Amino acid sequence: MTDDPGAEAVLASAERASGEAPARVSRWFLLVFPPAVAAVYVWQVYALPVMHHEPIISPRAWPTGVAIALCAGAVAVSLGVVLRRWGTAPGPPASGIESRRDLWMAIGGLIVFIVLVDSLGYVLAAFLLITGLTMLVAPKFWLRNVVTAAVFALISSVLFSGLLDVRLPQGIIPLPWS
Amino acid sequence: MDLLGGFDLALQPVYLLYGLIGALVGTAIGVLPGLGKTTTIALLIPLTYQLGDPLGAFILFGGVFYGAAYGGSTAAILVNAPGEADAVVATLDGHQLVKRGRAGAALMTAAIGSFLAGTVGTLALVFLAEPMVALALAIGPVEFFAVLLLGLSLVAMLGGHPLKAMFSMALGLALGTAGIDLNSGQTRFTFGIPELFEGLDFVVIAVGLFAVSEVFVSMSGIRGGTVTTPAVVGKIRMSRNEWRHSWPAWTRGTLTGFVAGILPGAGNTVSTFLAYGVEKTFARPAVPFGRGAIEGLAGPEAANNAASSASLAPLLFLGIPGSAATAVMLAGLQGHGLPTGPLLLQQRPDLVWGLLAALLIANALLLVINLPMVAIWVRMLKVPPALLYPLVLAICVIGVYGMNSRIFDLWVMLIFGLVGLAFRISDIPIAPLVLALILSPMLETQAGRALTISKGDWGTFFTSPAAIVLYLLTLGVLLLPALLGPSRARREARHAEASNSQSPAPRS
Repeated sequence: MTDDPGAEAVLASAERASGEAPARVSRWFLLVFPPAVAAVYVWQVYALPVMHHEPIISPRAWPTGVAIALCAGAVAVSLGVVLRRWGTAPGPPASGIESRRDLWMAIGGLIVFIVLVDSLGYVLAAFLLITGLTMLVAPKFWLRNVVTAAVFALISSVLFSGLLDVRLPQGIIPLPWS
Repeated sequence: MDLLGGFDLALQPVYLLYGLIGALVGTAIGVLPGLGKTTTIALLIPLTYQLGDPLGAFILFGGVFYGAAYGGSTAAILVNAPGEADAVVATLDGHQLVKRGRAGAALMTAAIGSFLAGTVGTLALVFLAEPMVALALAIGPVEFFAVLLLGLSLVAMLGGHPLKAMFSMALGLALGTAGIDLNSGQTRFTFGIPELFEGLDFVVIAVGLFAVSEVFVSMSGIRGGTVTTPAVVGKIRMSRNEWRHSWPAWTRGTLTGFVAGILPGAGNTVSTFLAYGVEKTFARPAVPFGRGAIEGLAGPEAANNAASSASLAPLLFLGIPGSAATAVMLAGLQGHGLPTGPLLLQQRPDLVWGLLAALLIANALLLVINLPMVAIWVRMLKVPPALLYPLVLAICVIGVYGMNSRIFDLWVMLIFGLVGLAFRISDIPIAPLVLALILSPMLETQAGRALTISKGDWGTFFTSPAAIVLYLLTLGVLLLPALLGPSRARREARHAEASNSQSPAPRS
């Protein structure tokens, strides 16, 4: 928070602007996601093969009940958004996304980590993930970011791989404890 | 030999050391999502063979068993990352307490409540073991199904918009059906992916929905200054008012947890949700539930530890494990060549009484360790968000990968992180999905057992008086919000207004 009323106004306007996009995303999500999930589930329940000797409880029995509940919930939520009734229409976003760039970079960072961890190895991939994300939001403290990332990647590798016998991807740097 | 004889054994320095090591290892493991107490106990079994001392092994396991519960709650409260199903409820009001600047009070009420409930639960285990075991044996699939249904009905108590909560719950039930059907052996909803044959792992989904989505939202607000280090309001320790609100919640939670704890398989998790429901029904919180009501944390935390104690009764006195962790402990016992079931108490009373005494000591040790740690944990929150959230993400990654050493789990975690993000933006509550995901396979299994025993007669669900009472309770839980709704809503709105006007501005 700031004491400057001008800055407050700029912040408030930025908040309003940043709130519009999530509200739009939220509306589309509520319209599309519940019916889509319900449709896929119903299709999969329908596609379950009928067994020659059906047991007393068929593998379709419980999922059929669940499918009915899922369809009811999905229709109610989506219809509420379309008709703007029952309070399901999105209001102000519950969780504000302030910087979409930083959000996408965080998601992208995790995707890159998952893609590379097997070939690079855990230590190097974790170092790059932490360094990348910390540099994204606090580039001025680059030394602190790099040192923290290196220390965390090494200590967590020793703890999990060396002491707890968890198999972490070794990658291109063979470590004595893994 | 009796409990006093057990204390004679357990107070020997070497056993105190085992208890302390177990408590510390358990707490550390509990804080990290993924590894969990079951895996840790399994990892320790070969080590205990080298020790060659079954009582020492059991004391070590007991320390891990209770310590993991403390640690799991700490992570759920501080960074919204529940490592196990039992810790999910702690995120609802526990993490909100942190955001309101009451991290210290949240950790204290969890630690003290866990200690009290664990102590009362273990003492009750000593005196009530026989009737408890008889009760556990009398619970058939119909009664179990009714209890699980009661647990599921508590979704209505978890807050959020009722229709959205219903959708979230139905989605959780649907996700819980993926994998091999236990009744027929047929695979369902696996899309030909072998990793899905065993179903979706609860921890992977919970870490994605809660922790990863929290990291995504927070990362987007760090540079703009909306995500800041949570301020500490007032003293780190609990205020007089917080003590006043915690006592009745601890008592109710202990009772709820102890009764629910004897249910095999679901005891701990169901007990925490039941305790939350009980608090929401009976407590008069100073702050609305879901916004940092201390009762919403104190009750479930007490219930969790009381349920842990109660779950040991079938293990010790019947040789029937009630949970994955106690099943591994049983395997450890058998590995040491010990008799299991009723013979254990007859042939090795020193072991049973020594363990119960050691559990009481481990519980006290955990309180002694954890109360000074509160200040350290709170200080950890002062780590700049720019460092904290990337590190939380790295901890999530290593925890999830460490469970099965599979990249596939990381993709599932990412997908549910994105779903959690969309849920947060769309104001869909996450907790009902997680609760339903846990309960779905249990409900199906128990219904299947009941129908198999009755040869397909659906009327079997209404033959047990206990089950009918539980159905009526379920109906009551579903109707209660509608009956109490208007007056409760007015009261909560008043409290919200009052607390909002008192809450401090965040530090930038």
